[in-house]
Amino acid sequence: MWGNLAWVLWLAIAALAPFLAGQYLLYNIGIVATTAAIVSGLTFLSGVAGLISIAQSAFVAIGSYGAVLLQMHLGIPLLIGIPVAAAIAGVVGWLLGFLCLRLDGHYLALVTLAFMGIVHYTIINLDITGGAVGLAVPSVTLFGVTLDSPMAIYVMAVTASAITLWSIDRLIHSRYGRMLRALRQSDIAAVSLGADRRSLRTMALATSAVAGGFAGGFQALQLTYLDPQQFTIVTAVFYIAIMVVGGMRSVHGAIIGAAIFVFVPGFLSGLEHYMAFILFFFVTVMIVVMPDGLVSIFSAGGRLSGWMASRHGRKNA
Amino acid sequence: MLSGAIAGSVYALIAVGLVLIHNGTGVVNFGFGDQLMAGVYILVFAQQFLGLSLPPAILVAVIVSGLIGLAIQYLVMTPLRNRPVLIPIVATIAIGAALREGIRAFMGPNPWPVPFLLSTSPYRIAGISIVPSDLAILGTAIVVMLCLYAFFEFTKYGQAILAACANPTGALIVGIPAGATTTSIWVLSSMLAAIAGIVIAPLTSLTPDIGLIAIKGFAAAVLGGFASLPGAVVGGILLGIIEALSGYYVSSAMKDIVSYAVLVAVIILLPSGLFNRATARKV
Repeated sequence: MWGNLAWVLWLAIAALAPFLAGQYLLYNIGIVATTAAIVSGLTFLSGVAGLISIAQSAFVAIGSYGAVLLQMHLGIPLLIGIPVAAAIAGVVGWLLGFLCLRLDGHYLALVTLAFMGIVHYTIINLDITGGAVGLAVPSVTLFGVTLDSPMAIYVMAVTASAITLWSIDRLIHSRYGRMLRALRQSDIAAVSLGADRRSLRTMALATSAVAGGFAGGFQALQLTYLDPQQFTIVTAVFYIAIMVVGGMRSVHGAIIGAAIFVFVPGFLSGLEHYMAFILFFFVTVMIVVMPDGLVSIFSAGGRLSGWMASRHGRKNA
Repeated sequence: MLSGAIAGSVYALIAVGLVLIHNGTGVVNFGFGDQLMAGVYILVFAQQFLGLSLPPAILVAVIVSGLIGLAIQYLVMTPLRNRPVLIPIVATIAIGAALREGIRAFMGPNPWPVPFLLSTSPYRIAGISIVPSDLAILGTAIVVMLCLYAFFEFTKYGQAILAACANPTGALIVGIPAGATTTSIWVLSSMLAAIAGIVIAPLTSLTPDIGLIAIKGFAAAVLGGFASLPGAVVGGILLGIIEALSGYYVSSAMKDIVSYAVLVAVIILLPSGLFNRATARKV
């Protein structure tokens, strides 16, 4: 019920924004959309499968650098290159999961942390990626028309984000999502019922990598420039923070979190020196007082059950 | 080789701090590097703004760092103790980021000078040049390690903590208070963070991002199996030597990436570290 209402609201905002919002606001709404789509991959991985990845920014890098390089060197149009690069990100995520997910979950956090570092250093040290200088993102051409107006970029980015968010939402509520949830709550019970822990978790990491790569490719179109400093452990931590603030149980949490992280710095522009500190302090407080995220305010019983859980302790949340 | 071992002794300190918390609470502390960073900044603050000389400033830094650990335990970890371990781990990430950005906001992004513990001018003894400041690093690391060893082997409190790490329920049954042990682990480990930071900071430059050095602690801890304190020490020194050798034989750019590579390679190839036998997970 709340979920459907939220979808209507998001789609209404996305559809009306081009008519009502100014250029700056329109750009930011587009950034919220792609950021939310990137984070929704993490929502699936952490909120559903119970795993931590500090490498979402690395998959975003693979998606965006991949698409741009495919265009520059092989002449593959960006609109085809982005899905291809997202698929590459997915394969890399799958491999990473395949190699280290036979172990307990928190090893994944360590491996992804290291992987993030490796990807960052690789980007800086390779010539093909433009090194520390970065790369300009070429504009999209479709049937000979160059789509580089803010409006065209907005439409492409929001459409791609909507597809990503909706797919993740469907996956969360699919059989596959339910099996992952069962695995998170009691892996022994789930395995005894026939769930293959390693392959399910590996697929969850691959799924989150595809979401990050795909949405990241479209975010590259919005940003128009790839700077290696966008792809660090710090940005990966930002994605986790966005997920936590919004709530890691549904894609709506990702959207709310992204909106907060994009718009709040604008409102508090006088404090920008302290912005990152305020945000992360807020995130820490949120984890303690509202571990299910802001989205739990809206779900009818959410607040109550969250409060009860924190009072009585719930081992298998 | 020697410089590798010196850096390695600091990685060992970091790894011990990480393994302590992990063994005691099941949490991988991703904010450890930032606690380390905060410790050094407290030292700088005490020196530059409170006008303290080096020894009391170090004392202040270590004590305040322990208090930060206490605060983390009481304000964040205790309320989250019944949550799935994912939540406290994410909390450590957030605490680390808040510390880092807080320091960046209040102390600025530019590097601060950090005093060496001893002079940097080398002595020559029997044809070998010895740098006192390097010796200070190695010496501090060894002394701290010996103190920890003595604490855990020979005191009741240390034994209680080890017992609680090995078997929390069993420890509770024989009357070891669970809350007190996790609290002392957080305090102890946070003090270690400050010590590690103070000895390593003069070698690099002190910026809010110095906490990234925790990666090396993670790699060292993983090398040692992430469960044993002696393993963490050996892992740290080994990593320092690997790093120095790869910096020497391959390229100095490799030096940065080598700990990441070691971390990934060990987890994939030798998930229980170099020294541990594989243990099956209990139901």
